[in-house]
Amino acid sequence: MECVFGLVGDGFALIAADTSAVHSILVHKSNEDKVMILDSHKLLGASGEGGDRVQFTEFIQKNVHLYQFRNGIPLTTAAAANFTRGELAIALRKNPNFVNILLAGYDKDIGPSLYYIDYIATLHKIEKGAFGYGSYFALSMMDRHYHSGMSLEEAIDLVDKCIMEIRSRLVVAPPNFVIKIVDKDGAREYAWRESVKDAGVAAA
Amino acid sequence: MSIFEYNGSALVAMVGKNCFAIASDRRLGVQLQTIATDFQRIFKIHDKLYIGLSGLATDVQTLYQRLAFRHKLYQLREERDMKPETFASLVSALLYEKRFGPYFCQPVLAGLGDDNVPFICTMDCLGAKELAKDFVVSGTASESLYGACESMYKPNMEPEELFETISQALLSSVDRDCLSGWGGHVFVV
Repeated sequence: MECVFGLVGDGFALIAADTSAVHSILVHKSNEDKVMILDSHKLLGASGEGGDRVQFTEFIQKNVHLYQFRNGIPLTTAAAANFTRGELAIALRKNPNFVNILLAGYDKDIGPSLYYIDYIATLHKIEKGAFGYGSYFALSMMDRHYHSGMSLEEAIDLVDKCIMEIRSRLVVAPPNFVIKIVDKDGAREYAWRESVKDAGVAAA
Repeated sequence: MSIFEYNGSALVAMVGKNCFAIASDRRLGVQLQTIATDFQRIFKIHDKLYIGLSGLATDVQTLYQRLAFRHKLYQLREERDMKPETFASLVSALLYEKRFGPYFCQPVLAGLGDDNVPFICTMDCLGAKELAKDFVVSGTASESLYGACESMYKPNMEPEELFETISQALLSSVDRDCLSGWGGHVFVV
């Protein structure tokens, strides 16, 4: 089952997500990137129904870029989060999107922030959050070990603890995870945690 | 589980002597899981008018945004703040507009009218107003809140005593409700 979780540390925010694309009992691929780099200083980790996830997150990404092109300055993280919530709220009673989102960003004057956006458009600013069956384990591990102002090493250690917990305790645990980070130097991929590599396709 | 119990909430407003108090719990949950313990359910419309919204959190946020918009427009046009009674009618109308696809919220309004006469009222999700002279409650913990308020309330309390009363009523009620709690926000005006 899909898991996305994230936390805010000292001058950075990170999002970790599983990377399996699943259809009923079949795993299509195990290296599907579900954490989108929204713009230079924002990450969007999404979990939910496959088509909705890709379509909605790309829609948000393009609109964030459009704002930057039109106005010459990028959206703040809070503005992007509220825009995303607004789109989900409008769609909710017409053609709902089943996508749960964690939006992490870094603003020069505010620092790092993390927003929880439910599929029914509940928005809340949080320090640590998680979606999916993995959230039962990730949130508990974070409740125990998280404190505000964690260094990057401590935070990655905590993320690894959460991943270990999900892998060992969740019956349909996803094998691989991607970790992405956003700080003053921008949004980028930090690491993969793989325990199963996709078999390569033999050349024809 | 009912859609009103999806996020969990508890709201109470009480009337005192030329003052009012409105209090809410702070939990934001998704059914059995707690997401946050600092969720805001009470919003200021203007200095002497507060609205608390219980029920589905997404509708709480959407409805608050719509109401803040309408009130700001009113302020620009009329160059004054809305009276609590007027605002209550506005909320009621906005909710009834969605009669066959409602916002899953139960608002609690508390304000001071002309001459600082306190005004409280609550509504169901379709906008049926319920004016009261003493206290109004709403949310998943509403049944406990009715009991606690009925026994703890006295008329004409001063602000300090009102604050104590509403806090104790809220805390003891949410302790009996698993979907609300994690502290409280209290506003006394």
